[in-house]
Amino acid sequence: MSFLSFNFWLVFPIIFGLYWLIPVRYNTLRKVFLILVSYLLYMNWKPAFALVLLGVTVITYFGGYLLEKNKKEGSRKRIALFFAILSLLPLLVFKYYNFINDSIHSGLEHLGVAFNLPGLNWAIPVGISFFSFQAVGYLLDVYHGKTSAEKNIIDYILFVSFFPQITSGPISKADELLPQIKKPHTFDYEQGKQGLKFLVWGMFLKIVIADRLGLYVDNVFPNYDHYNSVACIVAILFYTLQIYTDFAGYSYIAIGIAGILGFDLINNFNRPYFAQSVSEFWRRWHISLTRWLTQNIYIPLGGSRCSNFRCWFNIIITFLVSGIWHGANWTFIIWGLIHGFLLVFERIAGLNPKGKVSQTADSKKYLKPIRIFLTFILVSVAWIFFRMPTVGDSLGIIGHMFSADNASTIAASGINTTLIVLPFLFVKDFKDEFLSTRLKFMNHPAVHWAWYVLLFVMIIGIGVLDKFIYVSF
Amino acid sequence: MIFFSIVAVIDCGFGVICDYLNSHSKGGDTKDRYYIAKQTSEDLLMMGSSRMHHHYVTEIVEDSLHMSAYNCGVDGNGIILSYGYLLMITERYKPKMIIYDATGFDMYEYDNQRSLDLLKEYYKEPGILDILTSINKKERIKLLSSLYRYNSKILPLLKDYISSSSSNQKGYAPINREAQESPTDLFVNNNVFILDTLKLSYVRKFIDKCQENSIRLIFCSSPLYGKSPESTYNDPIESICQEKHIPFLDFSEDHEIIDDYKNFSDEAHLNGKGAILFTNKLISALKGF
Repeated sequence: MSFLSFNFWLVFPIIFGLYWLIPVRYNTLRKVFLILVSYLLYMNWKPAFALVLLGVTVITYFGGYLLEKNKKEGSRKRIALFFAILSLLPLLVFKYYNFINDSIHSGLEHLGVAFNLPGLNWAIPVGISFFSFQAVGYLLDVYHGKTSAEKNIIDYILFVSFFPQITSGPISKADELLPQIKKPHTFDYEQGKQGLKFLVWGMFLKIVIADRLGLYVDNVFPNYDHYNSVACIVAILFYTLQIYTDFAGYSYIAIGIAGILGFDLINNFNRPYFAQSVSEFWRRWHISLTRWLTQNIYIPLGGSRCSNFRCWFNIIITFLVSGIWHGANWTFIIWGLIHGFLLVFERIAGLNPKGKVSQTADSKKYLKPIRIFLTFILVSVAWIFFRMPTVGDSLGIIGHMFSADNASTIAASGINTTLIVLPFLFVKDFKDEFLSTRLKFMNHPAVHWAWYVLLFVMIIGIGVLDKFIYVSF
Repeated sequence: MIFFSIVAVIDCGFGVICDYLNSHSKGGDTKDRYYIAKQTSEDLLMMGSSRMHHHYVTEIVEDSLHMSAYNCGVDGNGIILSYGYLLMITERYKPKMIIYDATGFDMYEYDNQRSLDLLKEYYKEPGILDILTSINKKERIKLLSSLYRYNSKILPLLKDYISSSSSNQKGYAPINREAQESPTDLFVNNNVFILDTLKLSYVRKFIDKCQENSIRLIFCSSPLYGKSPESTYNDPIESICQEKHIPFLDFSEDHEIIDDYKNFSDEAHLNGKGAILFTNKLISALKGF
């Protein structure tokens, strides 16, 4: 069940009440209650999806158990590989089977060979990429000895299925979440209040800003040839903001709900559009995925402790996996490769955060806004491939941005309200990024209250309920 | 607790302000829609979706039939909103005649939430809450909030309170755009359309309400570009009309109009030129009744 549905907000106070009503000494009962709630909410999407979730959980649990028991390096490697592939199998089949099948079919067709396997018309289990990566991440952590295998099956089931994060992350690590699951919680007013703040800010980002931007974006992108170049450029910039507010908003809601229940989840976003390089962007965007890819793809490939050429290769491969993780389409692969090549370029040019040029530039403050602006533009252009259905369409809209034809600019809906709400995002992120130690009056409780009341009023008064972009990953 | 108390006070204040702006608007869609719900007094009302709004030239109808008339068509809406308006209208007076533009595809399953948007502010009027809850049972809870009732409407309300501009001619809004090339037939593709039983039930309720109030009701299907002769989407409405003894005038395949794409602005809508052509043909047909 989506956090954005009215039904969720009808049942959540009951979940909250029952959870905290169970006495602390019955911690196992609390965990069983959370598992039950997590599975019931998940089955609300489609009951059969729960079997996939359970399957991935059981496979990685036993994989971890066998890894712990086995001490021989060779067989440990084989066990890790076998169980990792097995637990990623549902993801590969549900998400990539049709794409691989179609790609092979069209490739062979060019060679004059007619070969096609039947396509699958199955819905993809919600959040499969997130919970599969979380479970496989645990397995690989056990293999690398970073964590010990979890013996308590109840704790492990809750670790994989914990409802605030199952549909869209953050992708938690075992050593972050499992100790919290084991620890009996007492209600902490401050943590609950912080959770509510995350929740309100997340809801505001998602349904007031992201979905409102979506009204314009969804008008222009599919019909870009009916719009002039200015409308296309605005749509691209709006999409850049939409995907941030959509995903960050949903992540903050997840963090907020977990906080209200006494759990701390990793913050997935750190004002990514204030990054001064694409390398820095990836330290601020979808932090839990970047961390997963770094630890489980980039470093095992050799990371940066190897030759320059090998390091560049490792970066490209890591971002290729990132692209594939995001979707079964050539557009996602190209999006990933663009980021990979940009990171390699920055490394060669010394523009990455540890690079020579970057460190020299840090002393020249006037360069900062220029670097932020250029990074924002590069990331925005790459998002085009993320948004469009085909590579041809992506190139089409890029070409259209520079065309001089005067196609009609049909007024897209909701733009006035959009322009009114966008400064709220900018002010909040700008203040947190650059003025966190100044503007002390903004930390006054009265200002805090007024801010959150205003956000709450805007959520109900001008929020748009729509779909969540990242839920399809 | 303090937080929610402050929000509740703001919510109530917001409701009072929006109610005032809605009922005192000087122009725009707000004024037109408030007029339909609360102020119409014409003998002939024409109701339906955007195809009513842009196809039926009110002045021609008034001049030819010698009756006062108003076009109550609303873009993106259909029978559910029209039934809500009819309930509010019949609380005030009984029009002599209603023409309803009902093309079969208006009865396909689509976003019924849209009807909620324009009826929410009238939820206290007799019968309206039942309509809203028939679409979504949880509306009863959501409507406790004025902010929800006027969700996303504050800017249009303010604009229409200040500005008196309106492009409508007694509800009729001509489209001054001509299709540049032959539009494609909406129903040639293989999309599977499903009839919405809720909408069909409101067609019956609409007819019953008119009969109960002795209002002469005529259903009409205005021209649609390139409708294939084998299309059967008007059949469900025609059969309800037959069952209830209501005339159904079908212009959807009027070749004099549909064979020339220059009468259209897009696949589903006539432009101003096409609307005049169609309204004159409609008048001729109506004189036979």
